[in-house]
Amino acid sequence: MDLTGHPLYGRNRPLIVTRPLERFGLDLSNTLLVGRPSFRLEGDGRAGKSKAALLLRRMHKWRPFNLGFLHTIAGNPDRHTEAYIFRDVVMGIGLRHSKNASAHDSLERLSRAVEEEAGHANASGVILIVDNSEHLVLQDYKHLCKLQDMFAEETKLFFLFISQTDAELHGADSVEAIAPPHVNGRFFVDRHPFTGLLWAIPEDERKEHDANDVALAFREYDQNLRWPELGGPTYTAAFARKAYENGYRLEQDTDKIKAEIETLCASEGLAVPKDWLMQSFEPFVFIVLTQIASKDPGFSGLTSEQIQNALKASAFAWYEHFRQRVRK
Amino acid sequence: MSAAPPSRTRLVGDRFELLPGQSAFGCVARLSRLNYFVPGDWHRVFGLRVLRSNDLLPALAMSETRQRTLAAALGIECPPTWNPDVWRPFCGWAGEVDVSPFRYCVGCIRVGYHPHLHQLPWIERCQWHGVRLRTRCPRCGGPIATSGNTGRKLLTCACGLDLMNEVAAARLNQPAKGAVEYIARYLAWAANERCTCTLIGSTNAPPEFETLAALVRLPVGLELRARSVRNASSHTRRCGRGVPADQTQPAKDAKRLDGLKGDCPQILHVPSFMTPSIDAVAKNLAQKLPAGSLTLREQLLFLGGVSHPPSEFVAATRSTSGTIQCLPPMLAGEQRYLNLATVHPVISHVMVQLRAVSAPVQPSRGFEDSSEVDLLLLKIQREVLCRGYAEGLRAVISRYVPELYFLRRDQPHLTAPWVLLRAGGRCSARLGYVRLDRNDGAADALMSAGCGSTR
Repeated sequence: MDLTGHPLYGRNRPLIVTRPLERFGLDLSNTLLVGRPSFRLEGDGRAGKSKAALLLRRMHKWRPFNLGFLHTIAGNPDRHTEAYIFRDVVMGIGLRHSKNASAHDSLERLSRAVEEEAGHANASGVILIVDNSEHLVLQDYKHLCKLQDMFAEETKLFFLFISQTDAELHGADSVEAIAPPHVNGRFFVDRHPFTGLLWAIPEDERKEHDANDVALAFREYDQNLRWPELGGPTYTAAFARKAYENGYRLEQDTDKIKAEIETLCASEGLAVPKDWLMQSFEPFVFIVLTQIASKDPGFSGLTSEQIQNALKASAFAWYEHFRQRVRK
Repeated sequence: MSAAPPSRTRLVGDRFELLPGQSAFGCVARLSRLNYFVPGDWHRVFGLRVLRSNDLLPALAMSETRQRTLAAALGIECPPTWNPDVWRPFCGWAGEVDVSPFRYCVGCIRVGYHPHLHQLPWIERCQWHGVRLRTRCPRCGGPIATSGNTGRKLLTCACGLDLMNEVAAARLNQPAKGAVEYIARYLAWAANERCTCTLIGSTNAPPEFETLAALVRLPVGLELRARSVRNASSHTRRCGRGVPADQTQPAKDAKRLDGLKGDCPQILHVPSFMTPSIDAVAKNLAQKLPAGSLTLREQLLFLGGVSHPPSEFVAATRSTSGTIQCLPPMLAGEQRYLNLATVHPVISHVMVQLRAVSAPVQPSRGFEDSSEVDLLLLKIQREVLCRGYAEGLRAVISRYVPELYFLRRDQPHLTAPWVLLRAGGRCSARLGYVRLDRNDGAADALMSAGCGSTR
């Protein structure tokens, strides 16, 4: 089978639905149902928060009702004025910028953009995803209150802040600590700690799931992701055809991979992480399937050496060094 | 904050697929309102160079360059529906009657939807909302802002009424029900009509809104929902059949009608098929004039070769006027000669244009060779000349007989004809008229329009 056009070779490789994503979706859905005004997605860098939000935006099953989405990225400007932040959000959501626009003009444009998105999605609620929200300061949150207050009736604006917890050191001066009640209660109450793929099955999910997040993620490649999408072989079957026919599945190597990671962490002087960052996991699978399994005619399962090579190529240790703040 | 991943920057309200047939003005107005653009932004954002005092609607509708610039700024292909010509079910005229003034449906404009269809004079009501199309503010009757120098937002009135609801416009998520299908059917019909229908008239007297409204009739499928205009005040006349072929002498008639060409024709040798009608015009007027209007000699000339006037005739007490003596057709045996001083030059112009439409006549051609269209055109020319002559007669005589102004139907006035000629299939034509003497009296209008001292 010719795999040159396979999605794994594409510039944007397909995103998979993982358990951390499902947990995030469930929490967000509950928050929306309760009627809260915002939600914070917090987690370590490279865990896959932004991609999770992007994927959630594409999925419909988790939504409690129709929702529109707008997406912007918070920066770190010198001035945190109303005009600046609204103009930046206007540009951030992809609108053309008017040089003469006042703060009021930008606010009105923004509100029309929200209304338009609501109409486009036939929804009464619009989620404004603010990525890199750790850059926002208290003044910014106060301005965002004003934006949110514009939608008191038919349309509701909901903020989804994506915040990297290890980007800045929080202390007594963190925004959360100094925010007045109306800002704190609005933007800092509902939050979800986003993780990478957990090695252990959480206590409350043991009845529901028989495998940990990593194994379930491998299962996606083994069973669900197909190319061509209708009737094509799964990704594992496409790249490790013979092994797959003989009953091999990536999921089977989960424990072996974990053992190799423990070995690697020990050699690198790192603590064994409780989760596997998506930024490392996804390239790992890519390397295993496209570089190892497809090029080895006698492939029947991952060897220790192959796992170590794939972990090295996927920069597992590199990411963990920075996450755990351990100098190499 | 910095730009989001989506590639090209866009504008609020730029989903044009929701607005089938949206005019260029509609696009600018909607985008300006939803994005809070002021007139100064029109050049920066849309690339438009328009004086603030200029009405945006005709400025955009009549300029292909501006349309192309706007389309490029919006990143779309220039929609053909921005061109008013594609909405016209006839060819041969490209004026501005259907691009000004701004005409709207309150239901459509609420969401910033203004299809060029609503500008068309022959469309009286909105097809989707069923309401009458308006040109003024529904609350105070004032003008709606369509230019940048009014000091207020586009689509608002000085009384404070805002025709557009920005929230509703932003939330628009589907086209008006049936709009896409109707516009597609209308455009197909108009394109088909343009192959067979020609609008003929003089550019010196452009057609008025009411004239066009009365001339164009929508077919049943489109008319049922659009309820095209049936304006009683706008007089139209339909011609289905031409002059009987045996009454014409194509070569001779053509030669005589060629006498209308030239810068300043003075006398027309009346073609034989027109003679009875022209005689009847003069005779009819003479009989309608109040007692004591004409001298005996004048009356006899108007009655055309009659030796004795009616017994009840009362002659005018003044001496016979040389001017009035020249008004009736001059007799020379069976021939008639018409003094064109009594006919407005616009009539001659239209006659020449009608001659240009008909096929060139071969000298050897007999009446049996005349086509249906040619005969119809001859009839139209007769109608046009007779009406123009009758109006001219009344205008000139009104100087001597002011009582004419008290006659209701025959009050002196001047009109210019516009002809919608359908040449394909079953030939027919519809005539509409435009007033020429709105500003001055008929006599003055005729005098000022004429060439030389005699006109």
